Amino acid sequence: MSTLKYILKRFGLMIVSFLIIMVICFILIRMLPFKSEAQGQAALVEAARRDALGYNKPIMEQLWIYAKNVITKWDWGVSWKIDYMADVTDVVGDRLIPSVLINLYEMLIAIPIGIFFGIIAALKKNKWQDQVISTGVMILISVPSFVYAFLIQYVLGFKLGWFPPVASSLADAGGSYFSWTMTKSLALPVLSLALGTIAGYTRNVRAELTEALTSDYMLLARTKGLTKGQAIVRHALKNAMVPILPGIIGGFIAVLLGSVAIERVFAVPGVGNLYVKAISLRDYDVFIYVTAFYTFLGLAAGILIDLSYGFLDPRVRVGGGK
Amino acid sequence: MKTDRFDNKYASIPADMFTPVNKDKVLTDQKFDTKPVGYLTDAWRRFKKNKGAVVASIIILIMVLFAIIAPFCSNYEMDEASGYYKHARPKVSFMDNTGTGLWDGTYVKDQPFQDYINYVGIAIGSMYDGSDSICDWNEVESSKYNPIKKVLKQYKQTLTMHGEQVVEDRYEYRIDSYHEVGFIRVEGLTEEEYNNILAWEKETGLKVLYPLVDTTNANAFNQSNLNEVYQDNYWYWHDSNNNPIDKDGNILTLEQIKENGLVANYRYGYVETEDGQYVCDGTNYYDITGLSTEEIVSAARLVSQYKKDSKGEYAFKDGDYVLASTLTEEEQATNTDRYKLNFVATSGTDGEYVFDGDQYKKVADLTADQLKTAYPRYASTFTLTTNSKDGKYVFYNGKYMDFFEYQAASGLGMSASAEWNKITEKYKADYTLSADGDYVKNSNAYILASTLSDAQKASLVKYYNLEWNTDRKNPAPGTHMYSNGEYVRIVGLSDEEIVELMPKYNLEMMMYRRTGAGGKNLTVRVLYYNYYQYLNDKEPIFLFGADAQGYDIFVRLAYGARLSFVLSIIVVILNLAVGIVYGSIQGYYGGKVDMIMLYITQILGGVPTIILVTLFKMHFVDTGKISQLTALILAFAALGWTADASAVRMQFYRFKHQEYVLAARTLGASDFRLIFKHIFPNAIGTLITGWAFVIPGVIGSETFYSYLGIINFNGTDMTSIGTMLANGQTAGIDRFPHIVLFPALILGLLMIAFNLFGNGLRDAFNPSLRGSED
Repeated sequence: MSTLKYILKRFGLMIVSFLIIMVICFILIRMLPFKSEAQGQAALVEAARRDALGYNKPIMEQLWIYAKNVITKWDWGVSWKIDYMADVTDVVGDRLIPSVLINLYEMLIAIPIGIFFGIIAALKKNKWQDQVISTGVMILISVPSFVYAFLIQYVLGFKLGWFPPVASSLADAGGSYFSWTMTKSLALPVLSLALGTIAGYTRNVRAELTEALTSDYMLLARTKGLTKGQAIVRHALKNAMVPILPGIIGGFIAVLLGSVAIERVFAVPGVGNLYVKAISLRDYDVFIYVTAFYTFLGLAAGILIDLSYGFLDPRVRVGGGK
Repeated sequence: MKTDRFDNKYASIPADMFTPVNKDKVLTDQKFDTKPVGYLTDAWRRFKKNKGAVVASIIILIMVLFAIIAPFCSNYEMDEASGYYKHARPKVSFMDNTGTGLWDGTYVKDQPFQDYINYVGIAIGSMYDGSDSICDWNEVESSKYNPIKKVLKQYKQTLTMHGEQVVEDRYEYRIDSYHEVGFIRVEGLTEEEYNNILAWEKETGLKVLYPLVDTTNANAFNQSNLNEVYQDNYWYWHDSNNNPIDKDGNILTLEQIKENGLVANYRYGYVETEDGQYVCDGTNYYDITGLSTEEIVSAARLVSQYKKDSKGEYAFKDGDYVLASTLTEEEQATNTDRYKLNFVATSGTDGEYVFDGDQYKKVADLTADQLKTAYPRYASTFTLTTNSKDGKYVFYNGKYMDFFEYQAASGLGMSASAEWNKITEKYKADYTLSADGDYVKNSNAYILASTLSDAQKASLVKYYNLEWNTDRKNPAPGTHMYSNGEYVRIVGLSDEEIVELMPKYNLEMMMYRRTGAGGKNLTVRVLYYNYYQYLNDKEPIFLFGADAQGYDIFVRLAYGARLSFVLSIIVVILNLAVGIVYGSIQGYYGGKVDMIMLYITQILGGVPTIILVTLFKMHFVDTGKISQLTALILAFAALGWTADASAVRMQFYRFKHQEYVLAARTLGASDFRLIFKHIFPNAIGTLITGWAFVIPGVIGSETFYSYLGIINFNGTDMTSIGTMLANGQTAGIDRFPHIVLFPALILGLLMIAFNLFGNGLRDAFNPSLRGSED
């Protein structure tokens, strides 16, 4: 019961946070002056359209119109600069696939590799294998991913020429995000993203598994006659994975978030690039929509991670009070 | 047994066998020899043992020193852009000229023969010393000014051009990015600046000024396919494919160039002929007769007072140009030096005049004797009629006669032709010129050129292969030169032709050209490497290379690092200040207060930083209310303090119910005292560990936002590592990797160092957390 209450409370807080952030964001954005680049007849049409959409009304009224449109018609406005007069939901939707793809590929690569290295490092703790892995992890965790993305792009993309240094456009890739050309061109952004994630998983798995390996139940498992391998796989690993799994679950929500910097380094036509473009071009409706998207996903991932702890690990009781 | 024996032995020990230890002694604890170890000292001892952390702190220290000191040590200023050294590769002076490719300012280029020669040509051109001496190839190759530092590979490649198979000679070499600029054209120098350069050349022994290239010489200079910036590196004869050629248009091979060098195509600025001296303003030659000796000495530097256009000649009278024909002869003689000549040909149709010391007289009206005394030119036994088309005449027995008249008068008959030739020996030229037009020689008679077709002209006389650009029918004096015993006109001849015709004449290369109003601005050709040294008093050496705008990466990186440090330290301080107060209140009072405050931090925690940064930028920076730096600080601090607050809050929950706090409260300590004297110090360890991780976090975020261009520090007074990364990416990481790699390396090093340092601090302050990496 208390768990349900806790979940509801978290959701409530999430929605309140989301609304507050969005309202502040909306007001601040709508307070900014709008500069139209349309000229002549087009400018008149645009002005009339903006007037009809209520852009010239007081901000609180604008907020009401906006909220009403969003709730009743799922109408988040139109793009004024990037795709002129296109619905922002379509504008973002078009760019969602590459963002999700690189993150999905990255997760699929990074999780097994990260866990694998983590296990090796924990089993060979303080031996050279562990030291090599830990040094690599330390470097990859410390340095922002877009910094070594440059290195990857330069060495693998330009010098050795193994992969295309920038992502293909949809047209070049034969109109499909799943064509071989596109997949190959996404290799470098995926790799750049994956390195950081691999390092993260390696570090966490190593820490958890090290703790599990030195636990008393491992001693018990060995004394009752299990081999070292059996004990590790059946007991240590299983327990070590419990704190790791919520991160993985949260990570799958985060695939929607994309990666702003990596998308920019490799010119991936994703949401991250769209967001930066919306800021630089002052495409306010797109900006608000992407902001809503990011904020919502960020909050949702946080809740999911917290809750999954409770489901996966019976020792963790969420919302158990004092 | 055993027990029995034991029992037997020790069962009854008499009491007097016992002596109390330390009887009658006062026992006290021994005083500590060592001083008690404080919290911080203890932490410091642990920290010292962590090698990685110590190394990291040294690296951080070096970075901080770099950020502070580098701008003072560097040769370059933050806002100092060298346009010609855009993208210059990193170089250290002791690696210069080694050709190793290691930090020596070189990069690898793979280019055809023409480009290879063009670069080597910079070295050959730099050896110009005023004479046509042939340079030593070894000297050329080892010259400092040779951009080709090492040829890595020489090979042949078959290309298909316009459907034809062409074998191309290609070279792969290491080229110095500082010397590849070569020669450039500098426009708008004043006379004073020019003299300063000359003085500087003398002082340093480095040569800056080189002769101008003759860009008007269509045989030697091909303008169409060259970027104007690099025109001045094509100082030698080359064809439309930029192949080096000799004067007959044959492409020179590398062996020929090694032996004989390249064929220079410099513009001659000053020409002296027997009938006068001429200066060139870059397009036309002007007579400078009448100029003073000093002026003539520096002839190339003067614009003649003499002027000529389609209306005729002008004399300089009372500070203005007056058409010479409007003046009386006397005025001509007195007003302008030029008209002090004793011979003049007017631009009209009435022929030549001589000046007999008193007045000008028409040549046609004078007798031969009069002519002889009036002007040596007429002392010849031979003359051309001034207004006839019937050939040439000799002056024989006081009378002008043509060949047939001469044959009869001399009585020589058939052998007259040999004598005729002897008399006219110096007129062996194919071509001659008189006031009524050009003549060309056809076997033994001169024929007026205007009566011939172009094809005939070309076959008869080589001069007619040339393009003449003036009206030949009205030649003006002062535009002729003396060749093979005949005067030919200079106007229309190229420099090369002038040189070819008159090897004995004193020629000087043209060192500059006058432009602008009154000819006050000079255009010169300079060797940029030395010109840079003249301008800046230093050799161009960029330790980390130059970026796409020609800024020094080293010094800008220092400023970028400075920005990062300043920003992160301010953010840490702001975070701490807000976080401590907020967290203390939350933790100390707890209950409802805590809950509300917790909700606020949770909502703030849900705001993505990128959105806040953007909103701050749009609202405050773009409207000019605050600077970008302030906006970034505020945005980071607005969200960053929650972590500090929650750390402090946690420590308060842990300690506020402990007995010593209760004891202090019982003794009447105020809330303030309890918070800051008794509970808060417990949070210091966590906070110190915290800020050690916040700094790299802030640096990373700042780099991230400036890389994305959401915050743009691309200025002459401020920059950021992220902005430099973005600039490097725009410039092209494939071609100019150093622009990205140096900032990336410095940033990476900084981040690793801070993280190691942070780990060390955490282990030192919270030994219980050691080993757990997060």
